[in-house]
Amino acid sequence: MPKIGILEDRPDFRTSIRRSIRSHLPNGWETIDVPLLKDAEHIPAWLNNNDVQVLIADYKLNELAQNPDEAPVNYTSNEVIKFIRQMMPDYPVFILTAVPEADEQPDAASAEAVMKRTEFGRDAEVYVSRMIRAAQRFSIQFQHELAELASLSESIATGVASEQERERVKALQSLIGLEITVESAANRQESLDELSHKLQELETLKATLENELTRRL
Amino acid sequence: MLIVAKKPDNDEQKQNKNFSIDARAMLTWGRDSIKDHSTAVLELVKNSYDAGASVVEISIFAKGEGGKPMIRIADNGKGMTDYDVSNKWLRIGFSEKRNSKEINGRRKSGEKGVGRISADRLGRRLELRTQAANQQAVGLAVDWGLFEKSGIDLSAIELQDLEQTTFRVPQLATFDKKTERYLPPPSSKTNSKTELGTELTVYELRQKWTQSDVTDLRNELSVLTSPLKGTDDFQIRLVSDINPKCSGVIVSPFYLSAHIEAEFTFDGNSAIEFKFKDRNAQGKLRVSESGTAEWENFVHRPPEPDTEGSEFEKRKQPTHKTLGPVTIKLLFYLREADSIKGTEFSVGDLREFLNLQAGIKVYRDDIRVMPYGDPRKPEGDWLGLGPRKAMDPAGPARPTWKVSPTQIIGQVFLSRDKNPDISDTSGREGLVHGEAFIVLRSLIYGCLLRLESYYHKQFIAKLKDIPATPSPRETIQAFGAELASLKEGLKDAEKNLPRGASQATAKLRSQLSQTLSRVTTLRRSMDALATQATIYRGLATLGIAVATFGHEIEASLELFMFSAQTAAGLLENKTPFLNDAIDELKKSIRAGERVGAWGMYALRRVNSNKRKLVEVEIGSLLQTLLKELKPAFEASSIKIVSKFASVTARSFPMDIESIFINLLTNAYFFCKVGSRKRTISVNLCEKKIGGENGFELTVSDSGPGVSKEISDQIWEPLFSTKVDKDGKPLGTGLGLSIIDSAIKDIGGRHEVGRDETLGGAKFIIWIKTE
Repeated sequence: MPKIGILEDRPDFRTSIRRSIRSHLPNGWETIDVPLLKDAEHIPAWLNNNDVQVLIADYKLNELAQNPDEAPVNYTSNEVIKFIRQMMPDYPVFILTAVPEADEQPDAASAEAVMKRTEFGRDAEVYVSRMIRAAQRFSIQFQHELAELASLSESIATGVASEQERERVKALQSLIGLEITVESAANRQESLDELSHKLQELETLKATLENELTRRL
Repeated sequence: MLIVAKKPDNDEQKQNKNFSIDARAMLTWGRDSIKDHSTAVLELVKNSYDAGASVVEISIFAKGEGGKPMIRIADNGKGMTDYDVSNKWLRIGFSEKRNSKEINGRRKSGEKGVGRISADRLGRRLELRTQAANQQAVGLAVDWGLFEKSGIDLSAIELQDLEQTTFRVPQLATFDKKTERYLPPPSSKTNSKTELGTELTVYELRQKWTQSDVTDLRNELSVLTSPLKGTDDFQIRLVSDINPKCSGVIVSPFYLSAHIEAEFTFDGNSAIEFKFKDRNAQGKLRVSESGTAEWENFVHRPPEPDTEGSEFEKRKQPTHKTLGPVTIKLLFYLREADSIKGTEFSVGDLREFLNLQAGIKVYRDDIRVMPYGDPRKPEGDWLGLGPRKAMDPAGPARPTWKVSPTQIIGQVFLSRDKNPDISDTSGREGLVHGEAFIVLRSLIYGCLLRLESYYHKQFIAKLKDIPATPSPRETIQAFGAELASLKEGLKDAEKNLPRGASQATAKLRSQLSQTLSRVTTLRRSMDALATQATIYRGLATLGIAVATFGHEIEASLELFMFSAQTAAGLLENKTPFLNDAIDELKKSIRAGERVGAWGMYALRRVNSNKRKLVEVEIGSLLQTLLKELKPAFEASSIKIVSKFASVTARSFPMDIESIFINLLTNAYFFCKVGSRKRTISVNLCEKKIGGENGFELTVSDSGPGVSKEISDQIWEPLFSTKVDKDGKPLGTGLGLSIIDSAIKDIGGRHEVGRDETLGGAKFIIWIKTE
């Protein structure tokens, strides 16, 4: 079941956000509390694994520790967004903040929206439907891209892909953030050729050395 | 240079062309080279030193033999042969010192060969007697008066051989280490083929020697050789009937009175060894710090506004390549009674000594190079210590404290052989101000900075052991009390006066009453000012606290609104979520209460009772305050561990609160910097310092801590290290300066260090309880 993920360090706020969303949530959707992992880099994977299709995050995540024996996390939602964008460039993220004009600012350009918390409280219904729409858009696009990528990859693997199709794979890979791994797979033949060439060179070198050694002995 | 003259046509006039010198010219030359008669004596003493003498005796008599004034300079040096006298001593401009460098392991001090003409400066008639090994003694008299007639060629003046060539060779006086005094010198010996030396006697003195002239000479002689290198190296004795007080072996007792003795040795490569010695309670100097520094971290080019060269050149770190080994000794004096404890000298003597002797002197091969370090000459302050101090006269408690030129005696030792780039100017005094000289200055400047930082730290450490200075309010109170008791005393005294005599004291009494009433007025306005200051501090503190905890206040308000909105949404739903809505409303009420608590907190801080001087239980005052602030700390996961002893003090609660709140806001801010578990530890206990009752409040945090370099500056107004990640300043820089000012007013002290357990800063505040 698709989910709206809630990322907030203070339980009081977390509960209120969850309740505000729930009273306007369409069927087939649910909310989930996203844990404040020690390392923000692991959050995108967590979102993927738990079928979280849209994220609502407090801007300042470093006020309250999640465990009495620890310090609060050392990142804000700006860092979280940065890691999400690396993996999923179009993933929808909504940011909640108290004072948008404070010294420290959420990165409005890379978020779907930056909302004042009280505004969200007042118009929760409107914001929830916006979040669902954004999630669906992302999901549909993502599914399409995945399907296309799967069929094109098959063509490449069987060696029937055209140059145009190869280019399209690169573009798709870049969109869903898989560029590096698939890029090297696309050039697998080239790499294999290069490797065998190197091996040949080594063989030649070995032979030369052996000859030299025999001559000297 | 050989000058070839054109061959004359006329045989009768045939004569070789030579330069000849007018006798008078030589005198002019000598007189121009020698500033005054004590410099003339100094020059002759240097000759004795160069002759390898271990002792030189200077006699200055108003009534010498035959009741006439005379000066005698006798040494036990190697003496001169007849050949030496004719070909060296009498040859003006000749300096053997240029050819042979050492005698008795000593580098020679003069090189220009004009020292002996200086005898003319002293008196009209000079008698020289000298005895070299296995030779006949030589005696010679010079009548300088004959030189004064113009038109007489120098070589035309005849010198008179002395028939009587015996003289007394002075002997070394021994230093008694037990009494730390010189024993009376053994009687001098008559010259012989094995008892060598030289005696110069000057008669018909040109100038009358006064007591102060003799004192000046003594002072100049006392710095002629290095006093710290053992006086037996070259003993100078002065005998005078003009100022018998100055007679004896020249020593400077004040060299034992330095507060700090610092020694720096530059090895000529890149390392500088340093050693600091402190005077302990018994007046003995003990090594308290030593180590080695690298040139790059040590040497600083002194500010030289008047030098030529580009800004870049001036800023460039001086390289040590032009400089050979140098040893620098710095003696730092306090100019206080403590420094001369146990000596027969007064503070006045010490100050006079310092006024005369202070300065950084240069010794080349153990002989002083003038005029460096001579406080009476403008170029004596060659490091610009005077203007430097005048620009920033901060006291030693301040990190920028600078040594005053009258507090320091410095000795820079270098050798001509190892430092060939440091050379004499062609005039009699001074060194060529080339690159090597500038590098030398930079090295000494670096030494001074080290000394200053050392004394500043020592001074601060000592401050902790002495009672805090009374606040202005207390000072005035004490002054008023003294006046009142004086008035009472006067009243009592009047009772014992004979009838009628009391009229004489009436005027005094009325003046006293007037002063007393003025003091009362002053005290009132002082109190009013202090109260005002307390209020300002309280309000500023409140402002800082609101700014610091603003996020928490705003978060409570936000939660209050947001929970209420959520509750409304839950109730408006087609199937209302009743339980959730009730829970949200309860949360909203709790948040509302917290906003209200902040309002109450602010009101309580400015409560008029807090501004009065009252008996206050400090422990419970601070505990209540902490309880009010705790939610703000908890909202940021900051744990506060506190321990409060019961301490009662008569004080202004507002000031005590201001101090505590500022310590807490500071700890709050820095706890949130970094990734350590956020903890603040607060401790209050009673503590007696310097016999005075008081209490100590300690606030430590788990933040990054205060680095030693800025531990003094943090108390200055507008100094703040609070910056965001882009380096933009965040703090007001007022919190700690408010603490500083409150403590100054109510009497106490503060310090900052590192908390070993929490890893952050540890602020320790001590306040008098009355």
